[in-house]
Amino acid sequence: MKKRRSAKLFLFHLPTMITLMAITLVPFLFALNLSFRAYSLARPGYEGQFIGLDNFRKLLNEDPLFWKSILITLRFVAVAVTLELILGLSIATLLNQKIWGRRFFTSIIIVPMMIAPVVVGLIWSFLLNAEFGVVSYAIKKLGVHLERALLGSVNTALPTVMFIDVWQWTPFMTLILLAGLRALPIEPVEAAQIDGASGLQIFYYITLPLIKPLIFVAILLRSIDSFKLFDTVFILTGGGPAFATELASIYAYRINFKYWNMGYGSAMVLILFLIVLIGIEFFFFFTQREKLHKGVS
Amino acid sequence: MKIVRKKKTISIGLMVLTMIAFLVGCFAPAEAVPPAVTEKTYEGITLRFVAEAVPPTEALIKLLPEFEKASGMKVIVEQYPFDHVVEKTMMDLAGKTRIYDVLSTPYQYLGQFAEMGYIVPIEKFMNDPKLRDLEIDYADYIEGMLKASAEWKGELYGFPSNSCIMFLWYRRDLLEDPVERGTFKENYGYYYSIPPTNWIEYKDVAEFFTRPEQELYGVALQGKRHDALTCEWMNYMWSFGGRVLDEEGKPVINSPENVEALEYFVSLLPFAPPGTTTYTWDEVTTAFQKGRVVMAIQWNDQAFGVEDPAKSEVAGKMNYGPVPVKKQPAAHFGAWTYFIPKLSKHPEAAYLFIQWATSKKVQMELARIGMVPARHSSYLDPEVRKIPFFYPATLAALEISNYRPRIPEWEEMNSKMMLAISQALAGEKTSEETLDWLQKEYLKILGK
Repeated sequence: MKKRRSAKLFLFHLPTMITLMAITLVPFLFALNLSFRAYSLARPGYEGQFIGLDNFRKLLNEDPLFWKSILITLRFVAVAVTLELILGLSIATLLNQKIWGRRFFTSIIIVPMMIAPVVVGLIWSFLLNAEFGVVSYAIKKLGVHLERALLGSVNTALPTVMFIDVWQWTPFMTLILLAGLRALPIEPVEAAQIDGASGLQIFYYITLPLIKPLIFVAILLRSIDSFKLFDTVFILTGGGPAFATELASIYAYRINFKYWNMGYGSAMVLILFLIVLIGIEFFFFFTQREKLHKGVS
Repeated sequence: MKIVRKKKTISIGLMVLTMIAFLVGCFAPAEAVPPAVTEKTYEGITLRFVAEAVPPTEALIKLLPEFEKASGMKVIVEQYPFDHVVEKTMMDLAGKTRIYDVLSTPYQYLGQFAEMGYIVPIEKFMNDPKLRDLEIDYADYIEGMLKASAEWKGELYGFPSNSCIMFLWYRRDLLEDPVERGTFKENYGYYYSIPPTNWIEYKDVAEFFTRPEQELYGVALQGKRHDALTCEWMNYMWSFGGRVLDEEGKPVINSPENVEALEYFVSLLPFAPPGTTTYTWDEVTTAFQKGRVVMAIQWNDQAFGVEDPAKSEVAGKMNYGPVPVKKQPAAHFGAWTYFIPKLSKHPEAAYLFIQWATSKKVQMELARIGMVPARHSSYLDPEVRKIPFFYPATLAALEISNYRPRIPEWEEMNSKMMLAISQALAGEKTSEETLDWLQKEYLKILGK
């Protein structure tokens, strides 16, 4: 009886598994294959011959721009996710109270998240346009004279892009954390209030520890997502000025679709994948360790 | 039963109507077009054409019905901004998906496409009596343009499509104003030419007219890390006597002339609007339209936008001249070329299309409504001559026509040049450092 049932279950899962494999595994294997070859769509002589680990060696040892782009991406992820977390938590806490118009504000807050990243890039390029952008105009009216437009200076370009990412994705954090806050049991909070704890103390000693698992999930999801960010930044700056906003994804795009050097580009994409994989492993390792210490398995 | 019968009647009726419409369409009267195009052998064919989304393409689309009626073909035009056209074209050619039957591509891809066997030489179509237009007159094409945009290793691969070229834009009203001229003479000790003819004058005038309180700036630079940046800078490069590759094809990008040209370019930054490092050709046009800028090195086909009174505050106040000279005149030629893919589903029909699009009559009509022509005869037309920037500025520039390297490696070289110049503009590296770096990269790419 059990054998037949598990066979049926397997069969039901088969279509999904096949589709998932086709969408994820097959392109992955294709890229893996390409990364060991010299393949370029633009230059004769790069027909796809096997060259072993040469692409990887060149990438890691002879391409300082690669490392630079990784650094920029890590900086971007660190700052953006942290800001999103802090802001998201604050807004979620606010929305958890019984304030007037709570439902309304919750729906409005979600809007940026629903806009396609490319459209976000376009909207903000118009807003930030040095000649006729509303934001540039407002800045001028406030009496601030900018030497270079925000997206045109190496000092302000990356922060501006970070700001736009925070603008778009804080709602994501807010939603996750709000769901967590709503699901918290009310007894510990009531007990603390009876004992005379202040709001801040309740938040720090009771609420925060209880939603920690959710915070970890939110950080994980956002970090992976922002590591991959491409569309918005590509539209806003194309990687410039100079190398200021050249995220790893943009550099990979450049190699693959501007230089058409797809063997080398596949190697880079694979390394990015490994970085994310290792990052996730580390993340789980540290968060699980915490759980073990607390005696929760 | 009744419903089924009704449906049957309707569908039969529709079929008959369609057949009648088709038959009627087949016998439509011919228009006055070059003789070869009235050959009905290519009737019913649909050509898929991909081009850049700019005013000249719009102009071509306006004239398409003429071609479609005469030949019985249908032409579907897909338009995209620069980057996307190239991407889509490459994907189609490399992926062998045979989507596009005829292409309009930036001419620097000529080497790449020819070497990879993506496009076919058009010699055989040109000599085919069935396809050849008797009035085509190949000598009428501006030779420099034809060679630059379509000749590779002795073979011709297409015809020039949009011929844009860079020259000097300036505000005639401001430069000619006697009060301004007088004040300039007091401060600088000489009268500037209108427009400035050398780079010293150019910078002095730029400095003189930079008045941030009035929202006026002497120049605009296409300073975004983008194709526009290298396009503009190469004018300075050529004018200062520099070049990218020497006669043997070896990179000489860090020559003293190039370093000087880059240093000069960077030195213009204080006289440009704060947003200049986010500008491509579009934003420079907008800056002129709003009356914010006095001079710039800019594309000729953009001038349509600044001469349009509906969009521009300075329509009628502009004039155009040659790029200032240091060692030699310069004008960056930036044309597109009509190519026929090797795997095109209808290569002969495609050839008829591009022959029509570059025929004398069509080029003249296109010139009148917004496309820059590739033929001498078009510039002799009195209507065309009235367009302020076509004549003499465009023709003069076309005679110079400096063109960028068209070798397969150029895309990568161009992309790295964008980074190098952007870093110099941002002050991250000196001109010398950044060009030394670029030279090293070029040697790596070209394997020399």
